[in-house]
Amino acid sequence: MSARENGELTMADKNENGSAFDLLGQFDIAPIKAVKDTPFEFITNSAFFMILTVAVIAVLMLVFTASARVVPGRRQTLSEIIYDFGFGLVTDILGKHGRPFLPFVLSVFLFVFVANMWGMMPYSFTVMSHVSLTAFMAVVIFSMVIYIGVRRHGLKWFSLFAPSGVPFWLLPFMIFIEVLSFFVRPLTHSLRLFANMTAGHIVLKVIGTFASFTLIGGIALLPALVALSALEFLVAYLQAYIFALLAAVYLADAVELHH
Amino acid sequence: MTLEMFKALGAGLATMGFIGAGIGLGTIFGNYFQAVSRNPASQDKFQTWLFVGFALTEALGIFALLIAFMIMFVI
Repeated sequence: MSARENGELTMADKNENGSAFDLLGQFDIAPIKAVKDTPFEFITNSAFFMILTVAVIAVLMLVFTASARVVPGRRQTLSEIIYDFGFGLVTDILGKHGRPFLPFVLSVFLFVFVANMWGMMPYSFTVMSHVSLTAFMAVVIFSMVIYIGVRRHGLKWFSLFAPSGVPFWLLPFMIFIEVLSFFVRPLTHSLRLFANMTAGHIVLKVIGTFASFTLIGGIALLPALVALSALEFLVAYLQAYIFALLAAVYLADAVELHH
Repeated sequence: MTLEMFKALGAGLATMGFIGAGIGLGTIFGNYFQAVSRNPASQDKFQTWLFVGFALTEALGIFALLIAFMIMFVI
């Protein structure tokens, strides 16, 4: 209280007054302007960019493979590169038994990747910056692992938690650690994507705000902004790749029991 | 000193968990480059598992970030 009387501000006051630093405002979810006060108000900017992402993927892939030939043209080659990428990812980790999971893993990768790319466009919305969506995707993958594992191997699947070749007095601790690390998977799986996208966009916003204060500062910070944007593009791809890669790694536990 | 100040201080201290993640990531990538420069043919074989190790190591740093977020926005 005495600090306030002395003219010092608390953190909350500073946030209200220093509107130049509205770092988290870019992540606000609100209905897009076109549907305000209509029955379609459920289309928020998040939902809009998700629909856009799915539409872009579906339309491009359908158009590129519409007239598939044995000798591919330029557009068909692009879609084949994407398919080869997913095929390599899945067969590297799941082996021959991984073929049925290729559509799922590739869809997850494309959805996250294209959504992140939309997020890099100015005035757009980064869908993956909300932990509710990434957590949902991670929990779906987590449930899939348990379901497929029990479906394929029955109750024997739970021997996954008991690593072989461990002394018997160490086994209770190992089982405890294995179970803990299994159930913490959806947490890290979702938080990695969310934290990387959020933190990257906040850093861009901070440097951008600094650059907008003065002309000289803006010119001086321009190379840094360009470099950071390039880094963000890399992170957008890398995090989508890691999300799909970890989905495949987790699915490998369900597909094959190796001792 | 108000509660908000202590919150900011605690959140800042919580991010120190990334020191360990940074050391771990440096070890992983350093060893990867060493392995690949000794045997360039092994690059494709190691690349996938490089990123798996990268993700698993970074997860520990993300736990620290989670604590920082909880201090700032949840409690």
